[in-house]
Amino acid sequence: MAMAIEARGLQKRFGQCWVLRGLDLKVPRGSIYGLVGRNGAGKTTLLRILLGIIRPDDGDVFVDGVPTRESNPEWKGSIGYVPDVPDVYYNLRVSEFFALGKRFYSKWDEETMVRLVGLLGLPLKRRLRELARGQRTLAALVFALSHHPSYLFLDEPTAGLDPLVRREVLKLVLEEAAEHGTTVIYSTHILADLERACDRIGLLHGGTIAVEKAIDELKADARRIQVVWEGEPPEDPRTWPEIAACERRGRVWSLTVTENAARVVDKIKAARATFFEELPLSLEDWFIASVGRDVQHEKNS
Amino acid sequence: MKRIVNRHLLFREWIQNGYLMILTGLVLAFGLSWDTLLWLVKHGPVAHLPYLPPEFTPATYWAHDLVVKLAYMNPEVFTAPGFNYPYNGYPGWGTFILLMVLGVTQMAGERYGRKLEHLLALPVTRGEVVLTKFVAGVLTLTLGTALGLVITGLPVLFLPTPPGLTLPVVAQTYLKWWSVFLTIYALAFLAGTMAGNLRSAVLCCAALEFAPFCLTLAAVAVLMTFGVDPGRRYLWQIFRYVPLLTPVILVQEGFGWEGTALMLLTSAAALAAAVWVFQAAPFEKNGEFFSFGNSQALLGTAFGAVAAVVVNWTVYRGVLGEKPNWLVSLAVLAVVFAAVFQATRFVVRKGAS
Repeated sequence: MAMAIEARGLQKRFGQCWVLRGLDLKVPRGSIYGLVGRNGAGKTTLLRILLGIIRPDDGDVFVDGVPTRESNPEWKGSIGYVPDVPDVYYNLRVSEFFALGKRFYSKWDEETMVRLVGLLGLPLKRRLRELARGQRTLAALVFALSHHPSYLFLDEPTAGLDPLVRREVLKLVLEEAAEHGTTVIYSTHILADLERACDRIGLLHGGTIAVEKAIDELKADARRIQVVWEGEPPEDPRTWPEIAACERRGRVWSLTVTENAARVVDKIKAARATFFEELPLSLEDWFIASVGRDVQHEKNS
Repeated sequence: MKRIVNRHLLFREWIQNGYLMILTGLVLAFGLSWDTLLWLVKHGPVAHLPYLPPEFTPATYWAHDLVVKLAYMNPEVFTAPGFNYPYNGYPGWGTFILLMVLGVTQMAGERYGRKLEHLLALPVTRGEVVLTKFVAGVLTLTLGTALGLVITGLPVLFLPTPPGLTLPVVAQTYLKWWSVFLTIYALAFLAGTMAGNLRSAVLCCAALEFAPFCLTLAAVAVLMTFGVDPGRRYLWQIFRYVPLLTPVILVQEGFGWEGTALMLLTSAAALAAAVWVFQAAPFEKNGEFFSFGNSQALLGTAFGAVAAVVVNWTVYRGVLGEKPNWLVSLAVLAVVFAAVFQATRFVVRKGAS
């Protein structure tokens, strides 16, 4: 599979705090890659490094196999970016903001801009500082989409948006990716959005991509399994390495499995369970189970 | 040229920071010209009678209308010290503070307002970003100074003036002032580029603008308490030279072509440093060590040194009667520095916890 964006061995620290520790990342061309992680995990830092806004302490970033330099205008001309805090150019009117985009991008599509502005109801004559946070995000999104970028970086673009607009934003991103083959890196805490939009997902944890999977693969591997044993099970399921989280209420065990669900089912059968039932695991449950174990471990230690 | 200054970025600068640019330009123009003109109304022709045309005497001077009075400029008084001295430097300081604000906000303001992030994602190089911003500020102060020159120069062109006062003299004076403005702006710009937030940028700016003068003053004061004669040891020469590196203080000291050349060199060096710092790390808090709470040792050293010098000078003048005693001075410096150093660290640590 051809990789649009690839990062190798990225390291970054701020003062004494290591944010990225030898991170590797592969984003296939034309995919929508969801980036998840806890607050402070380094998602924004990673995006900034990929964009060339900040420089890694070590490691390289490749775009279509070519190493990027942080100040490469040609590469930046092919990217769209929506920052997590869309405090862009307070004094500019919305129309001036887009006029700026027209000046900078040779592929600027005025028709698309007008269509998106109408669709999202952005007031062209108002200044950006007068807009609500969500509206500023939408303005940044229109700015990013109006030049049909080859690579789109979205840093929590739906935070602060109402559900209707959130749905609209996701639709726009999906349309852009489908029509122009845009490679999208989408960082968010709203995991339901990722579930709808992404085809791959990466969990940023401990300074590296701890888990990276296609969404379908992840859904196939991750399960919540309710098991009933008469009396005690012959082997404590909590000791099984595949179990991310385990809860017991009387005779009913609730096992959260983030990978190798089939192997766990085999073990349950071998342990002669009275009854078991496989339930799909939402992305949110998967995230909590994947990260929660480490958090608990950190708390205990 | 395209790679140095990006006209699209310049357009953005104008729309984003136009208000501050216009305000700074107008204050520069009218601050310079009005301050000078008012000074002349009060002191100029009367104080320098030899330069007055024969029809002017102190008795007849006040009979003339204001425009004629304003027109008479004396090249001797039309200098930097004359500019600020009569009003205790107040209008001048306002101008300089505004220039510092312009310089600091160019980078630190953008970074603080989270606007730099989007700017850096645009298809431009880091060099274009930093140089365009610098040029925007330079254009502002150049146009402001030019407007001031026009306002002051018109009377010289069209009204009778004292001997020696020609338009080139006025232009030279404004050129020298422009070099001071440029240096103040360049140092503030460097401070804003180095610092991570506005607070540290302001501290950094103050350090760049005032530190050379303050350090020299402190060094001379300390050496005098040990009996070293600044005049004999050429220390006063250093004392006179170093303020040239501090444009804000320079206003009170006066300057000539040597100072102008130094100002231009300082500006070039500050710009080069700003470009280097920005290209290396545009988004990170390069100068966060200037911020309170980040370095107990730095703050302790700074406050300790200031306190030691002040107390030592007070003891020298008040207790020793200006008779140098190296043992007492050394003891005072050491004890006060150590005490304030520890006290500062204690306060900072308490504040942090």
